[in-house]
Amino acid sequence: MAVTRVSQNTLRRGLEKYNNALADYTPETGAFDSIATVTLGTAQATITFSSIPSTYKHLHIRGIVQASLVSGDGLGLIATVNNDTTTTNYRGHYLGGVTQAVSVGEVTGSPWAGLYCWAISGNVTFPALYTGICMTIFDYANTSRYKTSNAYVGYSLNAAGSQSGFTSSVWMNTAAINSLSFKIGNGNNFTVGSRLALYGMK
Amino acid sequence: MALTYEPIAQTILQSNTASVSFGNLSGYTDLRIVCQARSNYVGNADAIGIRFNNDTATNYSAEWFAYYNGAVYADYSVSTNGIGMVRLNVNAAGDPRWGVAEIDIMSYANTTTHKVVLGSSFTDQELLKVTKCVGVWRSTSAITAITLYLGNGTAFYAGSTFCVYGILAA
Repeated sequence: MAVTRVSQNTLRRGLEKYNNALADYTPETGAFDSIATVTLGTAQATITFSSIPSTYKHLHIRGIVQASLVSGDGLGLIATVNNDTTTTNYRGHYLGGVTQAVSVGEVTGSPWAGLYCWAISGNVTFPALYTGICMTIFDYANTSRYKTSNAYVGYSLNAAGSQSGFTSSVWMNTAAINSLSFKIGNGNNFTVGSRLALYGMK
Repeated sequence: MALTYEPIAQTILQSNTASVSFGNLSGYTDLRIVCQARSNYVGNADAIGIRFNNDTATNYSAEWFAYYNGAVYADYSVSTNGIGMVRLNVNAAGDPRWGVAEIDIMSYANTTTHKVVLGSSFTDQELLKVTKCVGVWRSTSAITAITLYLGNGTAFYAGSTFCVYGILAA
């Protein structure tokens, strides 16, 4: 049957249905999905992502963090994988700048039981200053390869002592990664407002 | 509803332009700027500067390290009127070589923290090829406007492209 005439009411009802469909639209999961976000409401020693699905190719973690310190800055940030605290299962390397000095080296052994992510700022110098972090873990669900990460981390104190660093680390285990626990190397707490978001990349 | 990672603005310069600005940034957790650009500065290299909310007061600082003239070097800036973020090419007009930069602005809408910016750039200039920079805008205001400008030159060349992406956390 051919439609030869459409009333204004029909058009309005159709437009309402169209607009409602847009409002109810749930985007399909794509190449870059948000898996979980942790924002601290109280200070705590770890930020943990558990039950990480194995359905992505790589993981990306980004956010802002800050250490609760008595004094000073520049404490190391690590990500422990699958609760593995054996230090010999990790190795990291870094290249960065601290004030006007280039800093290069390797991190192994205690207390670095995790993927090394460079240093973060404390809450003493500037309480509103947090450290930015962008980290990627490649092929995290592959069960025949060790897991490699890179991270870019940094903060500026508006003074000497500012730090900007790029790291690469390996977890020498072929198990798929199903949990990540971010910690500060000396055991200090993350402060309120520290936030890390975990993404899956296909 | 915002997607997890989506483009929210793009500018392709049709003529040489002194600065590039973006607004209407709400609805995400982080922002990422990806650009391919060149400066009209006659020198070894130029820097992309970034300012927020039209703040030109000395509320910015930065720390960076770079491959420079055959070696890696590091430096920092304090109380500047913008963040000299990353380096880009200064080749002459018509040259096919362009510098590339990625700039991540973390928690840009947060109203309790200073704003942290992470940047990387890759150029083929003789002296400055790879740069990593972290900058801070010492303000707890949410970022509502971004301005990209040049540290030395007077204009980005026509053809320079700037893309802004919104990244949303769960």
